[in-house]
Amino acid sequence: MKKWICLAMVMVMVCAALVACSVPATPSGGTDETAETPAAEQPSDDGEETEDPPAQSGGDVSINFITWRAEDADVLKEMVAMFEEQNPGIKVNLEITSSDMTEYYTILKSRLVSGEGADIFHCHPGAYLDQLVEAGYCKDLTDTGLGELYDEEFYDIGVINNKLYGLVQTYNSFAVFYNTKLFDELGLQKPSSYADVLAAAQASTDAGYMPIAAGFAEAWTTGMVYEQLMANYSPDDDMVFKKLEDGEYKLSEEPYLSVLNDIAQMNTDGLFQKNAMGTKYDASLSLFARGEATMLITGTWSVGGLKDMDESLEFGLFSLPGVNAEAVGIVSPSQLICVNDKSSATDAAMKFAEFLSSVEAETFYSNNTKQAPTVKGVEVDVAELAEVSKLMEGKTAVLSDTYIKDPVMVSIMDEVAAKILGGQDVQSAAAEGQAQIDALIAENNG
Amino acid sequence: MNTELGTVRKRKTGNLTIYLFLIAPLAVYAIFFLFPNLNSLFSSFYKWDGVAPVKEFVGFSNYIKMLGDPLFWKSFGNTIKYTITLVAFQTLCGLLLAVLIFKASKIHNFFRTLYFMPAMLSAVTVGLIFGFIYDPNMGALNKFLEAVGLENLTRSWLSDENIVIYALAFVHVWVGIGQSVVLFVAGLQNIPYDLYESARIDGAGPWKQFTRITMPMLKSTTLIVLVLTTIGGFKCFDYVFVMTGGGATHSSEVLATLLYKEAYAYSDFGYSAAISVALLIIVSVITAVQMRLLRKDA
Repeated sequence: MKKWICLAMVMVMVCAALVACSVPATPSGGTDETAETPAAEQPSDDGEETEDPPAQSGGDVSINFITWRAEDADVLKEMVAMFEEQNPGIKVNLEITSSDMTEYYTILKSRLVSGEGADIFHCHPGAYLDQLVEAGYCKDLTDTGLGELYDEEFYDIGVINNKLYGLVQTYNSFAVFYNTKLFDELGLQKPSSYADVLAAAQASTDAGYMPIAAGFAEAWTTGMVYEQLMANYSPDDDMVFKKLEDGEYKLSEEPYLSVLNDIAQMNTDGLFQKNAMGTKYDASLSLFARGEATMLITGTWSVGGLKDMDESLEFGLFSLPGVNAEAVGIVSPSQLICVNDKSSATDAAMKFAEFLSSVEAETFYSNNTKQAPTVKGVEVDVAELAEVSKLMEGKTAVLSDTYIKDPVMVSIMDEVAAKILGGQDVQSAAAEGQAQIDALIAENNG
Repeated sequence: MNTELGTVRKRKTGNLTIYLFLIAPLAVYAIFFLFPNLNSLFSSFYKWDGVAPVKEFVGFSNYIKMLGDPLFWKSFGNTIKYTITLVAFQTLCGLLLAVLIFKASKIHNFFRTLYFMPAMLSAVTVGLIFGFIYDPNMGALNKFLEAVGLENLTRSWLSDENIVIYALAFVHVWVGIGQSVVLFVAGLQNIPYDLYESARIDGAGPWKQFTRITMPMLKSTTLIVLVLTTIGGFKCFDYVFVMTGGGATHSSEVLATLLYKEAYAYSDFGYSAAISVALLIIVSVITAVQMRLLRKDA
């Protein structure tokens, strides 16, 4: 008898293990009627879908919206509630994963590949969008009429091979934030040239404040410096990074040399706080919000977050000028709205995309997140956004055109900048970076 | 005759039950260890960005690339530095603390628990705590050094490329030392007290007792600690990832963070798989050597 009990227990354990490890048949998005059809049909060898996604029929539809925008969490939740109220048959599960981009794309890709949990998502323009479009995960939005709802200057940002795959929800700009109260206390004016910035930094240090707080411990933050400087030195050369990726330009030549020399000069001049290389990005925001630093290098996406840290904090913005170049206003497209073409709930996801592209939704989003709108006809009433628009009063450069496509290239450029900020001389840092770029080009071509 | 047949049948049934019981753990082993590792090996011969529907077969290209990649060798060097620091401090300090608290027999349970407490914290929590401690502007370490007049020792602990890997290894030592202490104390409890008594009668002092009795009798325990810390050192990921992410300028990049970045930041899953295979081979070889020493000792 005992052996039969043992045998039964073993069989139960094995069955339990097999059931636990099996792939669930129900897709995350879609109606109950579509539950037995995998959300993402296996693509054929040529990358095309083998079958069209099943059409939705009656009943409640649940879709997943994935984003990294933790700063906008409350606003997005309210927008989801607004949408659900207007569309009673559709439920939107908002999932904010990680503000770390590597982690975000790890999660997003795994969801897309598994066919679960990403019916509509945020994506950056550049390499990530390219990859997802190539793999067939972004719906072609060209003939949906959604693109026409956005300002013309943002349309092309989501275009690949003449087809629209992403809608720019907002844009940002790199900026140096300055504490207006501390500037008044030190008798400083808003800087407009490198000499002004240097004078402000020195006055801050002399008064016991940190100058520009920077969180260079996180490599991406160095990009805000070299991309701003690159735009300053080559405002009309929108292919400047593409040429570096193609091997046409070298790091040891202009315009890169000026940019790298400027980074070294700024470091030597003590523009950034001591130990900037060991300071994390969030810590740099705290230094500024607590009034320990008079200035902060970040992007306009920080406006809302800094106000959340201290409602009474008053600041102005200026674009970082080069040592020998005037500052250019950077237009940096932020998140793109993309719809998963392999979702089983594409229609519902499209409805949500339409809602996000409406004047009503964009007005709500911009007013509450204090980020610049991109949809036509949106009027916002946020004092801080007036500061952002001042950055665009002079010459501007749209950053998406100059984006480095290859993430390895981004890493190389970040590393070169970090080496210089860490004290390495420009020549050797540029030579080491160029050697890595040459190896990358050879690998990509080989 | 019937009794013999009955015994044979009983033995066969017993064996069958044992094999059936083994199915579940073997299935778990195959699903969670064998399959991922074989999949890694398989993937290392392909080029794949993680989302493309088709993987491109590239043969040994990923391994050739790895051998010529300066970043791989830098990460390998950092992993070795990290592991040596971890093994040396966790073993020596663990042994020292174990001997000290073993002598204070009445309170050694309290200290054993105290030293083991950091091991109960999650790696992310530890990483965040030490991230604050090491912060160059607001961190407790630099503030403490300033307070005691040692300003010249303050530095950016996690961005100074000469220090960062040791600063990270120290965190791992802090967390792992309790485990070593527990193992060494258990080993010390197994040493017969008569040996020390006889040695004392023969005129052996504390140092001689330690080197001639304690150390040889703790050889097996020491080897276990060495094996565990070596594997832990080579696999280190969490503390490095949370505190520096491998920066600055790859000065704290270790093999585990490199393979993560290659897969998820640079979308080169094939190359990442090749690094993971290399890491598995390195750890396996070192562990095999240590286990051989352990078996020899036993």
